[in-house]
Amino acid sequence: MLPRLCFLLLLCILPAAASGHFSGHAHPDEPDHPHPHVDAPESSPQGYPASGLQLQTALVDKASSADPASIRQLMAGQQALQTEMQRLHEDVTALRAARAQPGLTEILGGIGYIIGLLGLYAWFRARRRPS
Amino acid sequence: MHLADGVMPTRLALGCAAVSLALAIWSVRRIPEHDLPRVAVMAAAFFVAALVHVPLGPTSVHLLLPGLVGVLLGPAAFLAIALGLVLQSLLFQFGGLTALGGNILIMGLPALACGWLFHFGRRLDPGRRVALGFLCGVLGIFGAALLLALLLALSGKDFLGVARLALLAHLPVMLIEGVMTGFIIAFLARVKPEMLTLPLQGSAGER
Repeated sequence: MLPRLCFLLLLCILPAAASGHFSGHAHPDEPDHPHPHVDAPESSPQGYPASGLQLQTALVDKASSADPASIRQLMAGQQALQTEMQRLHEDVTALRAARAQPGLTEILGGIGYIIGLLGLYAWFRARRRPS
Repeated sequence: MHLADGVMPTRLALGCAAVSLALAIWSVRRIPEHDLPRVAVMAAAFFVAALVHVPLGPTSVHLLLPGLVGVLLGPAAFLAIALGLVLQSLLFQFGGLTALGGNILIMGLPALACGWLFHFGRRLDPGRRVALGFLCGVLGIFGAALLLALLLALSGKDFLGVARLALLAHLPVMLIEGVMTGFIIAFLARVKPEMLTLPLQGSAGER
């Protein structure tokens, strides 16, 4: 009876291990695949908003004229880019942290497993005594 | 306090896993057959307790409940805690899979100790039993912190330093759990006193 119980326990735990542990959360540091932007006509290869790259290209074109006003504009543009990147990094970090939190799904799944496994145990023990 | 993957050397991890498995099998035989829902409820409570955060100043601590589970379940507490920890590791990613044996020992052994301690004091008058409940709540976390420091010392870290750090960090949790356990024991003694003596009378270990 005990080897059967151990086998059934393994059978129940393996699906949880396979689905939860190894697929979704095992590599939390891998970046998500960049989604193609359907709204912007030109999107950069990194998947960041197209406006940043457009801004940079425009600024580089302006910089070639070597006008002090243009250089000031270039620096302001760089600053805007930096702020945008900073905000994006913060967003990604917050998103990753929120994704790693256990949710209601996991809690209910765990409680279900506990009830199910102990119920199986009860069923086995009830079968052992025909009275 | 869960050990992560890769902290313990392989032999230590395997040794802990073997001891945990043996103790879990022993504990399965001691599950009270007529009282299975209680084992399920305590296992579920232990499983979810790590999500209950108590804010303390700038940081927050979370409940662990080994003392309470040990007091209410007795020998079956080891299995309930093992089950809770396995599910926490798989579903919440708390603690690594290879460190599971070590984590189960860290939480399960203090639970067994608290169960036995409470069992020795079962003939005390109700006031003293509540105090004993408080002590069991504190000792549950205290023992767990000590075992954590011991396992980390066996993995090559400085024992005294880690022990001091672990105990200091879990001091608020010890007090909170002690108070909680005391209140729960007082409540049960009033409402359903047989729940405080039952687990160590019944056992399903027939061959």
